[in-house]
Amino acid sequence: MADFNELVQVMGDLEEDEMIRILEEVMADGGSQAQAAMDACQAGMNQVGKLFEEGEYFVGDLIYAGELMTQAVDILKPALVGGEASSSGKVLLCTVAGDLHDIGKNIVHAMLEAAGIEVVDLGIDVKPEAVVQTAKEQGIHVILLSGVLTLAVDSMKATIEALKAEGLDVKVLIGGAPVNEEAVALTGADEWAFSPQKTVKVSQEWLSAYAS
Amino acid sequence: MGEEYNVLEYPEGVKRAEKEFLDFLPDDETVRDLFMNDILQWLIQW
Amino acid sequence: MADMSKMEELRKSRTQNFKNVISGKGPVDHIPHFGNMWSWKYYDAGYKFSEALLDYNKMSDAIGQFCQRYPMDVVYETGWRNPIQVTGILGNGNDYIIDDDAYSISIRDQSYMEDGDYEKLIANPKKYLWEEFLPKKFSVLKNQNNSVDFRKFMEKYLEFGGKMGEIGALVNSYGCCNFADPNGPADYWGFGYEILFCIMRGIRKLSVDLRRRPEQVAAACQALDETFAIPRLERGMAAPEGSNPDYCVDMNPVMLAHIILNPKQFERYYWPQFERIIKAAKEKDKLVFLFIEGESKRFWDFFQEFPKDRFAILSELDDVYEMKKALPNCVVCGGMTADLLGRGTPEQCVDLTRKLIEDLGGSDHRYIFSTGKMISFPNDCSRENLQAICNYLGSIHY
Repeated sequence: MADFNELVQVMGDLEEDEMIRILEEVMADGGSQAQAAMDACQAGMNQVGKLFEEGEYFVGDLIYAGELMTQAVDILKPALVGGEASSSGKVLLCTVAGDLHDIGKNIVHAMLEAAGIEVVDLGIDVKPEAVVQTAKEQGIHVILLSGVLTLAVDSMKATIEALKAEGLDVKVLIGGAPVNEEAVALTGADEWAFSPQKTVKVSQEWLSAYAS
Repeated sequence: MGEEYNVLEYPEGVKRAEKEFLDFLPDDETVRDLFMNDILQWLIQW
Repeated sequence: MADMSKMEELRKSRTQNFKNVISGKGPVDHIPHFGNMWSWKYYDAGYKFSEALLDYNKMSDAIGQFCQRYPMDVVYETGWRNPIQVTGILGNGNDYIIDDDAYSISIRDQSYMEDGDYEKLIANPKKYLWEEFLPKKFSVLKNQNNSVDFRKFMEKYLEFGGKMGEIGALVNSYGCCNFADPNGPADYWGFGYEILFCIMRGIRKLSVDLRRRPEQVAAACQALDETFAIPRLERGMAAPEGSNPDYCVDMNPVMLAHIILNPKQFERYYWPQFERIIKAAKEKDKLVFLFIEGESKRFWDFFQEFPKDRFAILSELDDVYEMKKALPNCVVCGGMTADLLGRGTPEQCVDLTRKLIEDLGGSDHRYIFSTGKMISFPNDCSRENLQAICNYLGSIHY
């Protein structure tokens, strides 16, 4: 019988071999506890996010954590109900037009999924029209825009203007190196975040508000 | 110019390339080796 | 064009002034302006980005216009960051993507070195790099008679070198300094860990390698350092003592790859290069300008080891005031924001410039003015703001 408290701990400590050992144990047992294992991995990812916010973990650790999470999903997927963990809502995530950076976006993606949020990830260099179309077609209300270059702020502004012009009921959070309070005022965003944890927290609050 | 060859073969091709391409440098093996090393670094990084 | 001998005198005095700011050894007669100006120069000149990058004459014209319009001590980027005409001959290995609308040039995360290549790199780095790595990056070189293509590359490479020399002379003709000695004891980012991060493994794979195979990473760094950084250091240590009078600084290390490291990892993989730099700075009486992308605060305990009066630091994202307080052994550079330079008014820009000088220069004026961000995109800067700053800085003499 797998020890899920241990799984939370090893995930938080980024101990890959131990994580794989426990997950293979779960699958060897028939996979009936796959969802509990997934929940434990997600709790471990929350630990990782917290440690990043506290300055104990750094970008390299977040990237590695994302890699572990992908492995965990790959191991458990065959036994998970519907092939996926249950979702607490859907968000749209992308790196904005003109910017190819995706490390930060991918870290946030992994953290959101770990928190049980479904992520529609449009990738990098995403034009405003693509964001509008996807949000409209899939009924997504929570939009997360990422960028590293200073030009990303202009692209974020253009994207937010396009969403407003279409009359969509959305909330937008912007994140990345050039983003701060001034960028929120300039772009018309609703929030900004530096840490993945804040992005997850705000996304959860907004999804909850839209669900009620 | 002679027959073509594999410049990347190390060390023979690289040495041959030094002879062919670096004749504007002094005829000093150390100097030419260093220049070729700089080219290697540039090719890796850019 | 202004009197050449006057411009040469101006260049020399600006160079010495820059050194005096860092070393504290001589009088400072003005606050140096380090022009952290990148592709914006070509935008300001009215060229499409791809137009400027693919035509050396247009690139040169843009840089000349820039020097004329904005008198400053150092124009950091003078075309050397534009290798695409050379690498394009071999098939554009770094996969440069030019976006004329956004005025950007980007590359995707480069990871040509496979997991299994570590052993080969460690065993015989030059053999691995020449025979296996280069053809992975430049597929044109895969064929056995690649001397044909290499010949074309050498033509372009030497042409590029020649153009850099011409543009250097052009910049000098406006009294602008030569910045860093290209033959100094340490290269910009030519050491093992940076090479692994930037080109060979990439940010994603190296982040995983640091956890999965730390010993191999360390050995690979050592192998690369023995190939590039250590021979360069030996060359530099054999050169005459004292700061090269033709350049503002003797070494210009650029930190890019530190962003994924924690302090322990920094100590293991990154600090050895700084130990080499510090050795050269101390033993050969050299000056260093450290350029940091991103932020670096968690490594400031290490930076306390930098010898006093030899290092200037420009950080993209660190708070320049905090840095000055934490690192009294170093001169700080930076503080002007792209936000203000691009979207503020000339008065706001001059006010901030004045404040930075008063707060950070102190009574001995040992501060270097610059932006933290690399000024690249149209909204990063406005012509009138930059001109206002240049006029203001040019009016201050001590």
